[in-house]
Parts: sequence; structure tokens; C-alpha cells
Amino acid sequence: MRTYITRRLLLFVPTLFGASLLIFVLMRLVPGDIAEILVYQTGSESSAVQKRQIEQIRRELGLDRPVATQYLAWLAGAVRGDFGYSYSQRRPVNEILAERFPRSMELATVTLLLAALWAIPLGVVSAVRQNTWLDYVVRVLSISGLSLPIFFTGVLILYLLVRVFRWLPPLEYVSLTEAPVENLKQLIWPALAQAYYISAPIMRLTRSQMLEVVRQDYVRTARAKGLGERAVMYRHALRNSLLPVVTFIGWWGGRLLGGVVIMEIIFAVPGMGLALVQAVSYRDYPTVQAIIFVMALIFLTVNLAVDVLYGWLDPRIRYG
Amino acid sequence: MKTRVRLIALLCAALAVPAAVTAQDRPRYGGVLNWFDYGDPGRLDVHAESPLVVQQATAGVYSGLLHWDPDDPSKIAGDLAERWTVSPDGKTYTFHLRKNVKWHDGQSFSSADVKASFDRLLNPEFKSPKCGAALKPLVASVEAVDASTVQFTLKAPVSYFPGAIASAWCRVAAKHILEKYGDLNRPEAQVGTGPFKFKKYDRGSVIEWEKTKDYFIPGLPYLDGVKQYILVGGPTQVAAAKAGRIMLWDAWPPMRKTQADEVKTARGDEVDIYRWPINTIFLLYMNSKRAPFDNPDMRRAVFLAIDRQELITKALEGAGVPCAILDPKLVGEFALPLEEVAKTPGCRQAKDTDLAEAEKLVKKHHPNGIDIEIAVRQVGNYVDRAQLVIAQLRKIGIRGTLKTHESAAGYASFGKGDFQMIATQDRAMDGIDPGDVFHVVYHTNAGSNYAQLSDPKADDLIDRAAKETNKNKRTQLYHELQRYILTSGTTGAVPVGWVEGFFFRDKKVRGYKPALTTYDGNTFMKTWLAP
Amino acid sequence: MDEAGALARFAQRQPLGTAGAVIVVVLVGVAVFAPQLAPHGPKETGFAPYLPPSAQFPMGTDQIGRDVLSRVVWGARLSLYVGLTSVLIGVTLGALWGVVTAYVGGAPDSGSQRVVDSLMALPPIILALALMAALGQSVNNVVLALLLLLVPTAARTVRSVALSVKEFPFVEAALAAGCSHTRVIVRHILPNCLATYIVLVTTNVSYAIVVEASLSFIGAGAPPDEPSWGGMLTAGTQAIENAPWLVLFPGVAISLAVFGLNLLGDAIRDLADPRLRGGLG
Repeated sequence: MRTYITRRLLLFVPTLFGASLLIFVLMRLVPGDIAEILVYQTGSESSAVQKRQIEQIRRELGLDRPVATQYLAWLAGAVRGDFGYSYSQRRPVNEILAERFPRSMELATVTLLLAALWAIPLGVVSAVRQNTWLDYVVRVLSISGLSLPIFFTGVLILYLLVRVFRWLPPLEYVSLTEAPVENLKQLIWPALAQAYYISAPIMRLTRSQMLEVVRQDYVRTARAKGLGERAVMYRHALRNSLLPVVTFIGWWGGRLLGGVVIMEIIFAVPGMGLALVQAVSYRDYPTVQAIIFVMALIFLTVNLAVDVLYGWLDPRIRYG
Repeated sequence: MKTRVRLIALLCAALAVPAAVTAQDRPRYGGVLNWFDYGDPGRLDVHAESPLVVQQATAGVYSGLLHWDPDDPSKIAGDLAERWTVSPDGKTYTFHLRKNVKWHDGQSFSSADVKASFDRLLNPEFKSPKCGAALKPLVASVEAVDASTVQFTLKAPVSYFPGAIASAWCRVAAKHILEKYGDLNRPEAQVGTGPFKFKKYDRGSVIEWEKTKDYFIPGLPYLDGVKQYILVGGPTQVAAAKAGRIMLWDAWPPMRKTQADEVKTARGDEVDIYRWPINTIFLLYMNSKRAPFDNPDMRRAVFLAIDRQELITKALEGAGVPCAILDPKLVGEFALPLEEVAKTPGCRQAKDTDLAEAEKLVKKHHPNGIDIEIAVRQVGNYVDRAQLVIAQLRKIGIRGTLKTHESAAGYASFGKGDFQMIATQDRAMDGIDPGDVFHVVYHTNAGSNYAQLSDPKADDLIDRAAKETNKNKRTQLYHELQRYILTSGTTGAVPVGWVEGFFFRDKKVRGYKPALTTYDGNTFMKTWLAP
Repeated sequence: MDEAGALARFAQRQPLGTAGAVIVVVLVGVAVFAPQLAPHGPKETGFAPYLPPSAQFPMGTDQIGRDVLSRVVWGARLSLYVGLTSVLIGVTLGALWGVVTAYVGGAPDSGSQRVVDSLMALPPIILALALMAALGQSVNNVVLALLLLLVPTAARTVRSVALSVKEFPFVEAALAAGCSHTRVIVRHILPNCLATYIVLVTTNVSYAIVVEASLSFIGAGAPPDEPSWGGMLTAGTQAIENAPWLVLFPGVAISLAVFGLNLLGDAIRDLADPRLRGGLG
């Protein structure tokens, strides 16, 4: 097991390197840079002055160096944990990360909890009562979560809250430690919208896993041993069918931890997703690189953790 | 005994009634005004930045030498300057500063601060797209004559200098703060002399001001504080208005009529909905350095074909002034009368004659019509406008394909001339001087002259009108300039109209008057909340 | 007729799947016959804006005076085009990649896994945003963005299936009998991955349609003048109260499409995998 983990951790390095290189290249392919944006967005100086200002900004930020040099300089900083200064906010990128990450993490955690609590029991029910009307209802419900784009669910929630209750969730963010009730009053709504969206595949996966597992030999053995139906179901079938579900939830967790920009816009939660989209919009390379790096790291870590959990829970799987 | 008590009671009642009436009109102290900023400022240096989000975030913290009077937005009043005098040759302005003004950190204000601020703004190496760009061509030097007197010496006498100095961007910062921090980007550097202190900036979430206890106008401000939620999403902004979380909607982005109706339905009698100009001109640009619009005939064809009235009716729901280059509501007599403008080619309805001529012009150079790319930034409803323009141009044989640009990076494409036609792009004015729109859009060296069109006759008129100090002569020059642009029809920046929008104000909010630019009227120094 | 009988039995046993099939058939029909069905062009702006549904405009008009019914009808074509093209190309490419690297194994497999992981670690929205910014906003670039999202996931999923199939005895037997590697892949490995492939395709077409809608909210979806259901939904959120028809009809269209595709996909999967039919035990 330990060699497996070590090997996976070592594989982080090329993947992170690859992801950071990919985004670096992608951002350079996108037209415009921060210098041009800052200067042209006012449109109040003559073009000669503008050109001078653009060159000055580029010099200040080191954008006039060859591209390869810029990447290597960034890489050298990144391995030390120094992600540089944000071009558009003029403060260390690490500050931005420290500020935004906990919010996205909290939102992701609440979302996953809600989704799991809702989706897994329903998936089990649907499997146990396959092809009955209960199964059909659950299957239709699960698809409905997928069927509306998440921004629409969010906007609809806001609209209904105002229309029906004349109430709106808090519009300013307070952290969980400062004021837990206010914090949850704001975050529960985007969490609900997100949970509704991702619960659909979780429900279906749970259902199909349960259906598959109950046909396995060891379940038949358990039945033959005379164990009650309930014991069979919940002790054996459920535990084993949950493993791929856990993997799936973990995968979603990795994604959500990066922040979902749409929810952040609609519910005024200043998280990592919004920071990233705004950074891309302003060609704030250091911030983009850093956030992508962190998101990739999280994604890989969560997937590794889930795989390890999988291996630990399922006695049949042994990582060499 | 009983009669006496009854008489006293009656007297009290009689006095109480008028007292109750005047108590409602008398400003009350206390309360926090809630509204919103449509984006996260990020950087806070009001001298160096240009987006409205920055100005809005710091407006109440600073004072200027002069400002647009909160009680009468068309008049200039002294802010830090008690009074000012002009030399007979019109080149020297002497500002007499208030005494005993303190910065928010307790240090004393003096002319040294004014000199430091304006030296910074006028420094050729310092990038100041708003105040600096406006003042650099005008001001030769700034001197601190004594601790409470400052003198500005102009390069040439211009009548609109007070307006330029009154701009919301020309705020006075503290010398010791500039020396300590180097710039004004940080929240800690937000030390001003304004009615509110900068209390808190939660990035991406909220900006808060609190009352300045010893503000230099005794008795002001009335509010305990001002709170701006940072709300980026349109539906969220409207939801906040409907739920009463924000008390007013000022300047940007203007509400659509449907949104204003929704707010009215939700809040009913609690709010006033009104329509207001935002001193922003709605323009369609054609790149005069690239085909096909390097050909003046083609530019004229578009000029004639665009149905300004339809654009304003459909895209702005009627909230706008079509065709005008100057809006009489904002600049008064300097604007051509709207009746005259309505008869000019391109503007006159019905459009049959103009469309026929436009089609002929296009056919002359492109017998089979022509395909062009129509660029637009993805902001507000620009995209909707572009689609309307595409439909209009199809009538004269110009087939447009939509090319969308990002909100921020789009400006870079426009500035570099990376487009054939921009349909459309608005430009907000910083003041109400008639010269503003020409200096900013139409002059050869204008920063928003995306069309890159150089018209020597227009330049000449613009320069002469800027220098003219006699009001009547100046009016004549601007009239001649407007007529020239509207009748020649070969401009690269077609004035579709002036934009207005719908706004709301909680009836509880008093002492607030929307200003005549998007950058003013947001210090709330005289605003108070009724119970 | 035997076919009619078989269909009837299918409908009885899989009511949800049948419903799904009907919806999908209608969807495809509307998409194919859009020019005949739509009363106006999808970009025609001549009408008065914000008209509520009426006899002349059964779904009303939008904020710049276009007929919503026509746009919804044409939108079927666009959604199906975006969904099918991105998924068919993306999942197929991904599946082939997964099968080949699983089969070959060793260093090339490991290397390509790193590439897949790197791609998957990037948040999808940023990929789409950057692509739109770099290449310009167009329907085909949306397809490209979605494609790039689907390839790594498909590659990974199919690879793990192919890895287990590789271990089956008949593969060894085929190799021992002298079959070439290509033949083994094509005749033995691929068919056993087919069920997974079908599942991936059916679930992802509706996913692609919904993701395109979300992209339009942040300005990275199909160009706004195109009749994209997602674009219409985004524009409609500005006036939910006063013009609910602007969100109602595109919203129903998207939901119906997703429902139909998913129900049908479920039924196909249940059929393909006999172990999943019938009750428990």
C-alpha cells in the first residue's frame, strides 16, 4: 500500500507540471495581456501615449521577457510556494489563495454532504424496489436534477425566495468561524442548487451498483446462510456497492473544491471560481497559474485519497 | 384647573402637528445606506484608475478642491476650496482652502497635500487616465502659495477648467499617505478628508464606509455609514432591489424597464422609480483604416441607414435621446435643438430616402453587397444592440457576422484597431462640458477615437471651441461642429444617441440627488434616512 | 407482425425507456424539419419585443423582437448538433485512445495517462473560456471545447474497461492462434467495451447540451444571436417576472431533451446488460 501511495504521489509531479504548462500556453494563446487591457480600457489617451504606457507596464511586470523564461521563473517560484504578485490586484497571489480557498472548500463540503444524504438512500431504494413505481419516481427525480442548467436553478431559487418569502440570503460573506448562522444562511442555497445537480448521477450510480452487486456470489452465499434480507442488503450489498459511488463523489469533490463560478456569481460568494474567471478575463497570469495549480493539486489529492479508501475498504483489491 | 390642562393639551397638539410635518423634512441622523457596486474594485487608487467600480468604492472618502454640488448637480461648488478667484487673463486660478480640516488619521490638511496630489496627477510619467489625462493639456503648474492657498497656472485660458477640476476623479489625497505607501491602492491608504472614513473592504464581498466624526462641514454627514455589496450578477442585483436589501440604484448598470417594473411590483409604494440620463453616448464605430470603411461613401451609407430611433426603442426601451451628439438636458444651449437634429439625414423618419441613398452608395462600391465582421463586447445588452444593427444593415446590402469580445480584453482589440465595425460601444462623460465628447471621441488624438479618423476641419473647430472663453462664440462653434458632423455623415463614430436608464430610490432615502455624470452624486454627504 | 409485438413488449417492460425514445424521436424530427416547422427565421428581428404568447406568436417574442417559437425550433437543431458532434467525436476519440493505450501498456500508457490527468485537472469552464477567447466565439468552437472536456474522461473510463478485458482468456487464445494485435483489438477488445461506450454517449449528449447552456451564462457558449436554448435561458433570466415565457419555453425544451435522452440511454443500457434486467434474486 505504501509503495502504491508513494508511486501515486510521485506521479503528481509530472501531472502538475503538465497542467501548469498547458494553462500557461493556453493563456498566451489568448489575445491581449494585462498591459493592453489596463491602458486601452479607459480610451482617454492618444495612441502614442498609450503605446508608451503599455511598454512600461510590460517592462514592470516582466512580460517583455521570452516566454520560456517567464515560465521557468514562475516554476522556480511555484516550487517554493511563491506564486508572485497578482497583476490586477497588486497583492501577493498567496493572499488571494488563502482568502478564497476556504470559502470554496466550505461550499464544496456542504454540497457533497447534501448530495450524498439525498442521493444515496434514494439510489438504494430505487434498486431495492426495481421496476416499481418508486423506482420510476426516483429515476425521474434524478434526471430532473441534470435537466436544468445550474445557473438557471440558482436564479430560480433567488427569484422564488424573493417572490414568495420577500427574503434574500445574505449578500456579504462572513466566515463559518465568525458567524456560523449567517454563513450557512448564505451558503445553503448555492449548496442546494449544486447538490441537486450532482445528486442525479450519484443516485443512478448507486442504483446500478446495488443492482450489480446483489447478483454477486457472496450475496447469494449470505442469503443461503440464512441471513435476513435486510442484513444481506445493508451489510454486504450496500457496503460494496458504495465504493464506486465514493470514488464518484470524490471526483466531484475535487471539481467542486475549485469553486463553481456560476454559483459564486449568483449568490455573491467570493470564491476561487470567480477569482479564476476574473483573472482570466484580465489576463492576470500569476493568479491564473496559481489557482489552476492549486485546483489540480486538490483534484489529484482527492482522487488519490478516494482510491486509497477504496483499496482499504475492498478486500479484493490489492495495490502492489 | 381642568380647562387649563385642556388648553395646554390643545396648544401642545396644535404645535405638534406642524412639528410633525417639519420633523419629516428635517434630516435625521443615523442609519446605514445600503447599495451595491457592480464589480470588485481590486485596486483603489482613484488617481490611477478609470473604472467606475473604483470611484464608487472610494467616493465618500475623499474631497476635491471643487465638486458638483450635491444639492444642484449642474452647479460647481467649493469642496476643500472655500472660494476661488481667476486672474483677469484667465490663466491663473487661486483657490483659498478651508482651514482646520483634518485627514481621517488626525493629521492636518494643508496646501502641501493639494500640491502633492496634483503634481502626481500632472506628472507625465504617471498614468492617470481620468483626471491626469484631462488636466495635463490644460495645466502648466501648481503652486502652494501658503498653507491655505493654491494656485493653478494654465497653459491657456479655458472656460471649462473649473468643471475639469470638479471632476470626481480629481480628488485630493494626503501627502504623507502618498509618501508612505507610494500609491493609493491599498485599503490602508484610503485616508481622505471626505464625509466618510474607509471602514472595511472585504474583497469580492462588501465595501463599508463609516461616518467621519469631525468632518469639516459641521452637522454632516447624517448617515452613520454606507455599505456597498459587491454584486456581479444582474439577476442578483435585481433580486437585492426587490427584497429591499439595497436602498437605491445609482448610475451603473442602468436598469431595463422590465427590471424597474419588477422592482415596482415587489416594493410598491416604498420606492420611487425614475428615468435618468447617465451622460453616456451610444456610438457605432467604423474603422477608417481598414476596408470597407476606409471609403467615406461606405461610412456615409451606414450613417444614413442606421435607424437610431429603432435602436433606442428596442435596445433601451425608449430610454434615450436619439441622434444627438450633445444632449440639451446635459449641456443646455451648447446642444443643437433636438428638432433640428431630428431633420438631419440619417436621423429623419421615415427613412426611405436615406435608405435608398445608402443602398446606392453600397452598390456603387460593392455591387453584390459585402460581408463584414461586427465586433461587440459582451457587456450589458451590447450584443442585443449588435443584432439589431445587423438586421438594419442587411437592408442596404451589408451582411454582418457577429464577433463577440470579452469585456476587458475587448477594449484592447478596439484600441489596436482590430475590427471593421463596432456595434456598439458606449462612452461615459466625466463632466457636463460640451467639449468632453469631442475631446474623447472625435478629435484625431482622442483616446476613444477607435475609428482612427482624422478630420482636420473637425479638429480645428474642436480646438477653437475649447479655447474660446466667450460663451456665445463658444456656443456658435459647437453648433457649427455638430452640424458639420451630422450633415457630412462620413464620421467614423455614428452618434446613435444618449443613454438613459431606469433607477429606483427607497422613499426613505432623502437628500440624495442623482448627478449628471455616473461618477458624481455618490458621496452621500447630505443623504439621510427617514424612519 | 413480429416487430410490432416486440415493440409492444418493449413498451410494456420499459415504459420509461419508451417515453424517452418518443421524446428523442420528436426532438430529432423537430431538428431535421426545423426549416419547415419554424414560422420565421431564428435571427429575424422585425417584431415588437416582449410580446406575450398569442395566436400570432405562440411562444411570444423576446427582448429584441424575435419569435421565440422559431428560435426554440431551430434551437433543437443547434442543441442536437452541438451535443451529438461533440460527444460522438469526443467519446470515440477518447475511447480509442483508452483502448489502444490499455492494450499497449507500459511507458506509453503511463505517459498518456499523465496527459489525460493533466487535462482532467483543468477546470472545464476555464478551458472553454480560454478557447473562446483565443479562437473566437462560434458554434464549432463550443463543440471543440466540449470535445476537449469529454475526451479525457472517456479515455479513462474505457481504458479501465479495456484493461480488464485484456485479461480475458480468449484474448490470450487469439494471440496464441496468431491473430495480429489490430485484429485482437478490433474483434475482441472493442466489442466488449461497446456497452460502456453506449452508456458514455447517451449520458454525455444531454450533459453537453446542459453544459453549453451554462457556458452561455458566462459568455462562453454559442454566439448570442444563434438560437441556443441556453442563450435564450440566459437572456430570459433578466425578466423572469414580466416575461416568463422567455425562460419557460427554452427551459422546458432543455429539460425534455435531457429527460428523453437519459431515459432512452438508461433503457438501452439495461437492455445491453442482461444482468440489470428483472428483479433482485
